[in-house]
Formats: sequence, structure tokens, C-alpha cells
Amino acid sequence: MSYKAGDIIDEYKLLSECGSGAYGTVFLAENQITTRRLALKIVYKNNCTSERELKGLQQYQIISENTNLLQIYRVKEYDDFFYYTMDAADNLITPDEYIPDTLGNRLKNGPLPPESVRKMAADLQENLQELHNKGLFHRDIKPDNILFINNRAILGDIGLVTDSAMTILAGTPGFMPSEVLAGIRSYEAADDYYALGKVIYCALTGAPVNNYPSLPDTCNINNSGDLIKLYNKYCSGLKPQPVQAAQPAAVPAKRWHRAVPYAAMLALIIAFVVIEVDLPGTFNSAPATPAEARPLPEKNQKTLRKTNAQAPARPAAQPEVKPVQSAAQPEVKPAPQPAAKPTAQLPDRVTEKKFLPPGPPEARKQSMDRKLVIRQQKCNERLQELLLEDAPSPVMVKIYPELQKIYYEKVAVKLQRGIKLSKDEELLASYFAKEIQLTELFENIKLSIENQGRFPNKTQQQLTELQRERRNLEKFLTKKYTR
Amino acid sequence: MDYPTTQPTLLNRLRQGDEISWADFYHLYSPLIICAGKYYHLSDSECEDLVQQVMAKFFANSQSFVYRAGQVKFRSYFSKIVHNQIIDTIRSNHVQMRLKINAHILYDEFHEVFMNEWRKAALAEAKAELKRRVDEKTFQAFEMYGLQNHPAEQVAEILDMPLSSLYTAKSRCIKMLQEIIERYNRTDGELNLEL
Repeated sequence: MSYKAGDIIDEYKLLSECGSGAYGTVFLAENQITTRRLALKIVYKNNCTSERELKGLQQYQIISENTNLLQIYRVKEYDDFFYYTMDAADNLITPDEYIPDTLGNRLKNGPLPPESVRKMAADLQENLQELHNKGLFHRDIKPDNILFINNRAILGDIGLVTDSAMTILAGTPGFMPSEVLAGIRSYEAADDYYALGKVIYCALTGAPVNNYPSLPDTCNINNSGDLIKLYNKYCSGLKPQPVQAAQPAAVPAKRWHRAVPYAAMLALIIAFVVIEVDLPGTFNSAPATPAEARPLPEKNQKTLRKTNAQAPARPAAQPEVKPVQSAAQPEVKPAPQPAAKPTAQLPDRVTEKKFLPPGPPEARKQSMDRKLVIRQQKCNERLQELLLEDAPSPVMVKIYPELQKIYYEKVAVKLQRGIKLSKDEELLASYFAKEIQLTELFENIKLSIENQGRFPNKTQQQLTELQRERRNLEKFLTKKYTR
Repeated sequence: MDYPTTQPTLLNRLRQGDEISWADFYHLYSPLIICAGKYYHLSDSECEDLVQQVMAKFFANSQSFVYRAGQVKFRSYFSKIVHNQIIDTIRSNHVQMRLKINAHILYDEFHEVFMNEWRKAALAEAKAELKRRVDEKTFQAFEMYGLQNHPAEQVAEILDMPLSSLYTAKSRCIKMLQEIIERYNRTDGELNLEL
């Protein structure tokens, strides 16, 4: 049987229907004993998805206790359906009528102000981080699934939440990366952040997700630049940052060496060495994490020995310094020490040769910066040339939208369902796979230029090979699809 | 979708009853119909009705409509349907009383209005094609700096890209957009699109 508003399940009276989807129907319900209003979702057991949802719920219910995640209060299973109760979203209109306060409903009245988007993004990041820390993925983050409870944004519709090991294809097109949608790779944690990026875009611009990355003229970039940066970062598939990333001043970890002044770094290293050399016995800070207690690679050891050799009045024989372990800190097993002095307290990257240049630090820093910028400019020019060379033929450009349509609407669907492809469809699938590989390669090149000022190793060879393969496929496809 | 070069393909697919093509068709042309309705001061609900009526009329005739390139422009055929439907709407009593305008709208005048809306849509489609052809960051750089005229330094900072790349992105996108527009103009001489 199917339930409707007015029906009663156990002690819950169904007040009104909030929404329904492929997997079930959500009602606003009232507990007749406590008079508390909750959201109640009924899922009919007609396919394997309901089994998956039940399993995901059971996992979720345990981990969501005492967290900021959406709370599940009761899960009850019957022969032909199961239901669960959870927090209901705030009411968007009068008490007589209930419209759940979701981002989807808020966006019907236009975009949100940047301050609200910022707060929402921080709340959702926190939610997502909690979920990922417990080894679960949400898999269906979209405006309709963002609830506001006590004016705090919370990830709703946890029906697709599953553990990271489960390789199902689920979600909403537009909020999933195309390679996941096409079944080329399985879902990853970063894909939840990809969807979050798209949600932030929709909230800030009020535009449909397919318009991404177009920015409407009405959007003021003066007060929303940080949000644009944030959604671009998530949608480009970069590794998610901690919650603080929502703040505009956050510095991406992968470019930490640019953010910290070189002189300060150098001073820090010297301070470590001086403390170690001149004040034996007073250096009592134990390594913060076991990882830092690893022995330095041989190359770094040499670098450090060389630097230490330059330090004046170094005593010939050093007394062995034993770090004092505080009671609260876990005991770190001493790493096998090389013949030289123990230097394991220094983080590995700090001792890299490029951070210990000879000569006045400031002049050297400026020179290095200049060189890096010049190298980056040259590499960027070369990259632009490669991108232009990579442009498809005019015939391909003409038929491309049609191919794209066939691929995403027919071939990708077949791939997802495991249906065998015809020869032509296989060619089309290979073509788009090559294209995705090429896009990824270009992204890698961009990152490498940005971080190191150079092309990654063996790129040219890979690029040539991929382009050659793609051009061959292009020939077949243009013959086949040109009318 | 490609303005207006895929019309034959789209129309042929429509004739075969392809559901996706119907959706495409609706998505593509309903904004044009709404804009034309608005030009003649129809209200939002009247415009929505207009879209439904035009679509119903077109869908009813689609089986007998055969596209022959060079003989008649699809635009002329379609604009005639929209024109007739707008006249019918205005002639209905309540609208005529509200608007107090003459329902005798000359087709030439209407065609010019429709043509302008078509150009706007074609430009939007050219921009959408550009978006598909370049990577997201390049498009964002072009849109924010080249089209919306935000300061280069600010855009470069937001997009986390060097200024030189921003300038390159702009010039590259302008070049591509010009190519796309030239292609549209070649396909449809009446269009006369300009960047």
C-alpha cells in the first residue's frame, strides 16, 4: 500500500507530503505521543536500491549521533517498506502550511547574498568532513538536498549515503563529474566536494547548474571573489581543505612554500640547528607526530650536514640529545639513526636544497622568485601553443555537439548499465575517454607549472601519443557522422 | 545544440518523434516565443499560454513539415506561427480590453522583432559553444575580463592565474568566438551577427 497525508504509521501521523523521488516519499509527520514534528521518509522495497538505502541508513544512524549531521531517530522495517524519521527542515512560510526550508526552495526567489552562501558553505564543509571522517560518502549533494534546520545548513536526503567501498553509480547529473557519470571511474570523496562546489555556484548566482562556470552580470565579484575561488577549487577536483578553507584568507596547502616567507623558513631552520648545537639538554620538544620522527632521506641528510658544516664554532663531539617525552604524548619509537647527528626533528621538506641557498637570503629569494616567474611564463606560453595545436579539426567542431549528445545520452548510459556497445559506439567511447585523459593531462601540466614552474616528466611523449590516438579516432568519427 | 545549423537534424528527429528532440526544441525556442510575447505587452501567464499554443500548433504540423534547405527558412515558417498566435491572443477579448491595442500587427514589423530575439539567442548559443570548446578557467577569464570588464588584476587574483594567461585567454576566446559567429553568418546570411 502507499501512504498519503492523514495516514498513521505507528505513533506518527503524516501531516503533509514534502516531496517524493525515485527512492521514496518524504512527509512532515507528528509524533502523537510527544507532539514533536519530524520528517518521515517511506521507502518501498521494490528493488535493490531500497536494500542499499537501508544498509546505508543503519551505518549513518550510528555515526551521526552527537554530531552536526542530520539526526536519524528511528528506522523501522516492515515486509514491503521501511521508514525512518529525522529532523524536519525549518518552515519557509506560515505555520499553517509547510514548505521545507531547503536551498532549492530558497533559490526559487533568486540567489542568496554572499554572506549567507559563505555561512552555508562553512556548515556544509563541516558536515561533509564529519561524514568523510567516518568513511561515508553522501553522493547526492544538490540544492534540494540542503536543508536549513535552525538556520544552519545540513546535508539532507541521506538515502544515498554509503560507505566508500561501495561502487554504485548514483547522484544527479550536473552535480557529478562527467567521468563518474560516464562510468569511467568510481565515486571518490573529492566528488562530494565537486558537488558542493556546484551547490555554492548555484547559491551564489541563482543560475542552473548547467550554466557553470558562467557568472551572471548581476553577480558582484568584489564581495564574492572568495566564493568564486572556493567553488572553482572544488569543481576542479583539487583535494578538499579543512573547514577553514571557507575563509577568504586560507592558503592552499600545496603552495605553502610560497605563502611562508623564505627568510622566516631559513630563520626557523637556523634556530633549530642553533638550539640543538648550543643548548644541549634544553631542547625538550618531542616530535609532534610519528611521521616527523622518520629519518631524513640520504639526500637531505647530506644537505643538512653541508649546512651544519658552515655553522661557526660547532663542537667536535656533540652530547647526545634525548628528547624529553611528556606524559600526554605518545611514545615515539626512536628511528634508526644514521652515523651523523640526529636531525629527525626537522620536517623533510624544510631541508630541501632549494630552501637553503647560499648568499644573502633576501637577494637569493628575489632572484629565485624572478626565475620561477620567467619559467612559469615560458611554460604557460608553450602550454597555450599546445592547447591551440590540440584544437579539433573544423569538421570535428561541427559534429562535436551531436557526438557529445549521442555519447552522454546513449553510450554513457549503456556503459553504466553494462550493456555491450556496438563498434561505432566503442569508438565514440574511446574518443571521449581520450579527451578526458587529455584534459587531465593538461590539468596536470597546469598544476606542475604553477607549483614547480616546469612541465611534468615525460609529458610530451604522453601528449603526443594521446593526441595521435585521438586523431585516428577523429578520422573514423568524422567519416561516420559527417552528412 | 548549434544555432541555427542543426535545424535540419533537429527537425528530422522531431518528425521521427524523438522525445529528446522535443525537449531540445522546447528549450531552444520557448525563450524566443516569450520574448516576442513580452514585446507585445503580454503578461507572464499569457506568454506561458502562448508558448503552449505555439508548441501545440507546431507539433501538430511537424509530421507534414519537411525541411528543404534553401527553399524556406525555418525561422520564417516558425515566426509566422508565432505571429499568428500572438494576433489570436491579442484578439481574445480580455487581452484586447486590457492592452487596448490594435491586433493588426504587420508581419514585417513582427519579423524584425523576432529576428532581433533570434540574434540574441544566436549570440548566446555562440557563447555556449565557446564554453564547450575551451576549458572552464579560460572561459571564466574571458567572461569576467573580456565580457564583463572587471579589472584584470582582480580577475587574475580570483581565478588564481597569472596576468599573462588572462590576456592570452581573452585573445584566444575572442578569436574562437569570431570564428563561430562567422560560421553562423555564413550559414544564415540574414543573421548579420557582430561581436
